[in-house]
Amino acid sequence: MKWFAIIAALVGIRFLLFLYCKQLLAVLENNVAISTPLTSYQYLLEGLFYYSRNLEIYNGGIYHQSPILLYVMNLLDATGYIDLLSYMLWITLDVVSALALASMDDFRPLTAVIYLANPFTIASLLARSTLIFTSTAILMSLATAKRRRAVLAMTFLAVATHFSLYPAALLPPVMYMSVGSRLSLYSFAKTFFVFVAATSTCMALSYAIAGSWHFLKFYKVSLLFQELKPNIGIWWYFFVEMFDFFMPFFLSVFNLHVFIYSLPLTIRLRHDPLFAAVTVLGLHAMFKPYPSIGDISLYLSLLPLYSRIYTQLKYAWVALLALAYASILTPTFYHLWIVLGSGNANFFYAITLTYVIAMTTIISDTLWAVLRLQFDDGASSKQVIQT
Amino acid sequence: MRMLLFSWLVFAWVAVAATRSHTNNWAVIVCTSRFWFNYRHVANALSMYRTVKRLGIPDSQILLLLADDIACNPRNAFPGTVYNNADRALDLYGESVEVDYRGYDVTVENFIRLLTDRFDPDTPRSKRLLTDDRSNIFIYMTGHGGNEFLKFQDAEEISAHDIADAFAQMYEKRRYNEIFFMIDTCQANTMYSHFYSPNILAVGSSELDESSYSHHADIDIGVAVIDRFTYYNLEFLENVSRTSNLTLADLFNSYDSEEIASHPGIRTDLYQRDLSDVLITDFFGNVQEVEIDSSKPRGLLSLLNQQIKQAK
Amino acid sequence: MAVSGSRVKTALFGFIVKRVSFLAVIALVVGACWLFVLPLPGQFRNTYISENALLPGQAQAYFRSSEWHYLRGYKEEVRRLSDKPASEVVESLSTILSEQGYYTDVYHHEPDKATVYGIFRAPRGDNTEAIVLVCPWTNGNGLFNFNGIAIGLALARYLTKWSVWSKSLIFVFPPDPHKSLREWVAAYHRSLPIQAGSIEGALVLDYPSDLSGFSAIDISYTGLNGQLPNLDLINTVVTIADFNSLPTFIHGGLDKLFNALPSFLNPLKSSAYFQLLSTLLSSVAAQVTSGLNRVAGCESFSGWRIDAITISAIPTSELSHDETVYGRIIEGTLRSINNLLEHFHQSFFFYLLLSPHHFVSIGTYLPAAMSIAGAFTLQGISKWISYIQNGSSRSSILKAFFVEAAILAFTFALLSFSLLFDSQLVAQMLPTFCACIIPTALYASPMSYALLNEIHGVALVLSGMALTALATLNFSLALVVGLISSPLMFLKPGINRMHAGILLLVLNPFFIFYFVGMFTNGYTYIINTFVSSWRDMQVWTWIIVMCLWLPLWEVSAFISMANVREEAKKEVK
Repeated sequence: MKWFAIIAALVGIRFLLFLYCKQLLAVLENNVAISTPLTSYQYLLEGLFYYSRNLEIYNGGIYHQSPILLYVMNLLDATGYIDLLSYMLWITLDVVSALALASMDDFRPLTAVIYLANPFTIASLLARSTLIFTSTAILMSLATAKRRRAVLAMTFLAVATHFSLYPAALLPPVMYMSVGSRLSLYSFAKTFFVFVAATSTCMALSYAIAGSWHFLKFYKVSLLFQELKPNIGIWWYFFVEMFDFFMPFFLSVFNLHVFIYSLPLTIRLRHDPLFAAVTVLGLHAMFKPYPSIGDISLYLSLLPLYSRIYTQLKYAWVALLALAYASILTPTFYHLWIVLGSGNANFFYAITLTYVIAMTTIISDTLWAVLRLQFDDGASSKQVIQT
Repeated sequence: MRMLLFSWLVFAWVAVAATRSHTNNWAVIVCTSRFWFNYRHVANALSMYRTVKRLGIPDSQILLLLADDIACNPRNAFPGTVYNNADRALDLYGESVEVDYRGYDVTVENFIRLLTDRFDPDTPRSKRLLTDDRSNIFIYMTGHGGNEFLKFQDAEEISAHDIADAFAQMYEKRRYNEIFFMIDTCQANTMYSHFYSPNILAVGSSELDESSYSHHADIDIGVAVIDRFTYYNLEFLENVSRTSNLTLADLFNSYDSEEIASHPGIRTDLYQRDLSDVLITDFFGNVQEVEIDSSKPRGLLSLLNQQIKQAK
Repeated sequence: MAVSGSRVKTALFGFIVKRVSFLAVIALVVGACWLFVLPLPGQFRNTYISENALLPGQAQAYFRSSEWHYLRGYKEEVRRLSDKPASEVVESLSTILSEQGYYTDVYHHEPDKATVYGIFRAPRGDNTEAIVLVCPWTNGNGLFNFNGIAIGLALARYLTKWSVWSKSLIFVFPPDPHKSLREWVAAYHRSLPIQAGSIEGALVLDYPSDLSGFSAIDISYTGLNGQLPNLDLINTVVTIADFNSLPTFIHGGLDKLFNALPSFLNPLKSSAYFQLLSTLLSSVAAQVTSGLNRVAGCESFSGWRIDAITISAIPTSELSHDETVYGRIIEGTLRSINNLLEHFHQSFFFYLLLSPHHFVSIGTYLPAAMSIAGAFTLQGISKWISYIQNGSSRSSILKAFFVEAAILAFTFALLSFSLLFDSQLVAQMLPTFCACIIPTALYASPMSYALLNEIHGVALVLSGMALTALATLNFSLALVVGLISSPLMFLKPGINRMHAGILLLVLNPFFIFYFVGMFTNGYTYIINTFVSSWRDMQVWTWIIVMCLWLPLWEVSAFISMANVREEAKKEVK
């Protein structure tokens, strides 16, 4: 009962902040750590403007998201209360994500509370970052895959991939999870077929909504890194000063980095493919072209599913403190750079690197802990002491 | 018999060729800086321009590359003028200045195209260096430089290798007889260290890790108006007229590195003639070798016979 | 199924864990002493001009003999206007400026306050950039800026005779150099009918006397909230002053500090170390109190990327430099700024001056504030060690965060109260409100030692993080607030309540303001200054006090006054 009250309070805070802190929402919407060119609510409204007037949506160079979102927003707009209704939609998706998380952990309420109380999640919600569509789809996919519901899992994964390209890297672990013990080429092929069918459906829907195949441009923006805006990722600083001659090489290397870890991790962590998926999500939070703190909060919210590894973590507090410091210094250095003009891009990029260091520490530490536990199935009670 | 005549023809041709010299003079004067505080570089370039014009090279054979943002700069207390001395006795910009490349056209690409003559066929003649194998070219460069590079307009750089390769192309295309390369920047001597084509004489204002300094400033203009190396060159060149017999050796001997506050360097290993035989006007002026023949016109064969008799 | 519950231990980790508190003390001492090391030879650098385009002093300044007569005329005019009502002053200044050829306008702040400003469009420039010269009617200390206005008018006339300007010139005559000037700058960027593009630099003329002679110039450079102008601007003025054989001081010079010291320390005053240290400390003090007490004028330009300094002349009745020297300094600086093509960007934005010719840059002085912030974090971690080591229940750390959030909400409410109500009422009620935490702690149910430590740890780590971020924005404020509130980190649950009470009283922000108020203008005046500086000048110091210092005090008061549950006094392994 106590937990129910806490969850209700957390949802209530979200509503209160929406109703009484409009200025805070505006500030968060423009914060580069929270909304990126691919997930910005402002850009979504801009796209909606074009869509509602039957103008060519993807030529403006502003809207880089799926047409399905536009259709949904258009429905909300028709009622005239788009601000309130969109916010309620976002809160609903937040609650659905929390439920999906809890369901992966035998419905332990603490996991849902950790997700809902995470400041990164709240900030992402207040800014109405459209990343939530992808995150919710990923979490639903993982939850259903854990219960071996292959069709549902693949459908949700296809939806997530449609919204933002990178969940495609989750294909190996999710397929492995949903197939379960029936390991055969036939079952893999079946799940892959479902994935392809779902993706095609999404594409067909988008085609119908957008009226042409031009909507595929928004995948190009993330693959070819066409929108050069600072964010907490590591791509933009490289590409600001790169010669055109080297662009194809670096684009391939950087894109490869995002996808390449998925299959090896799944193979190594066959006994626990959910953790492979979690680790891939953590790597995405670092190596995506346009990451935001929503990606980080998704990864951190999945870690409580593995509370048994906490005793094996060596650098947990260091990494969490580094993450906290990076979060507080990101807006500071952005302000020094852009508003005051006394700092420069190097200040901001240094904090981005701090994020990367913190995330790398957490990912490698958790991976080590999982492997350590696998080593003796936790049977031995020996402590691990290292000098 | 025919073989003998033929061999004498060849001998005569060689004899004539041994005494070959230049028949026309060109000058390429480049100022690679822009902005108000680089006033002195524009003054350097314009001073050299004035000198070669005074000594006879016509505008059609001078290529002047300037950013040209000084004379009409709002910060210029004397609008429309450029001075190279605080006494403001001579306005370098006042009349008959023909700038061939101005503003943002002064780029590394244009400079190398100019040297190697690789242009679109519709480029105007005034922008081209139309030299042949009997041209002596005086190339003067000034601006901000460093170890084997020279900054062009604060946006790009040209390296010593680029210039050396351009000169090599010029040699292959037989676009010069001799080149006199003068450069006044910081660490200037490094810019000519990579030349490898023959008949190039180079002089720079300062050694590696040495800066070149300005000479003096005009307190009303508020900036330095001339660089030391160019100032002392001009001081010497003031005594040179179109018919002067002063040689390059005299010019180089007049350099005093204490006064110039840096060590000018001279590169002569690619140059065949002895410096004391090279007149200043061979490069700065436009003296041509003209033979005046007062007797009646003769045919080619009789001319050849005369040569053969002289050779005997 | 799980490996035993004890944590992973490493030998190095164990060594550090026992000594974290000691490390915190070391960090604190290092941070406190760091600034005293900087004036030693070898720790600071000589100033130099980074931007080649500036060429300070290379152009001859002609504001001399012939202009002196015009200056005398304007001085008489200012003398005539000195006791007239503001409306007549505004009209006279407007007329003078328009007759000189300026596009003149009057900006009305309030019915009785108006700022006259005139714009001289550069005849050969493109009117996209401007330089501002401010001659406030009263200077930062409230004195009548007699010669400043006269020289301003004379310069306004003189500068129009030159055609060398690439940027437009704006002369501004506000009634005071703080609120009115800042409102004018805000209006310039928003709504003024005549404008001249982006402001490249601003100089505030301050010469509060009608005496003809002045002995030196004093440069005030700190902006609001830790912002500083580019060091090149100060270097330019100092270089030009050197060419005119004029001594320069930074931030009021050393007289104030020298005179405040007891006489037996007199021999120290001549040592270079002491002189550099005094200027350094006065720079730090100026950065902390910027916008609060004396607003020199340059602070009003903070926040719009404008590099601004105030050049004050120190008047003297002896034969020394006359006003035209001051005018020449201004003219020379204007010629240098005129040479620029872009905003000042080459030289440092983060520095502290030890003298007009010596400075330290951020890499040298920042460790002072960072060690203090680090000390807070280390001490906070040491309070958490027992939790980290023994893995006590996860819910206690959540409880700790909840308590911290409650206290932050409480101090935020106090902040809103202070901003909404009259300062007299606020000054009286705030100490009472903030002391409410003590009876709360005394009468609350007993809590475990570990929980109290965790609460304190959360507060200390959050303060450490906030101080780190603050140190990058406003170094001096972070240093001072960190140092003053640092003894709070040594409070423990269950210590002698009498000792804790005394320490808490001494470190209470309001008590310290009261104490300082006894030597200055009073406690209410101080509170009023903080609140009004936020309102008028957007100075964040009050917010920092209420949302960084006060919550830490509240938490420390809570945990030291709370009842500790006896059986929970575990030893830390």
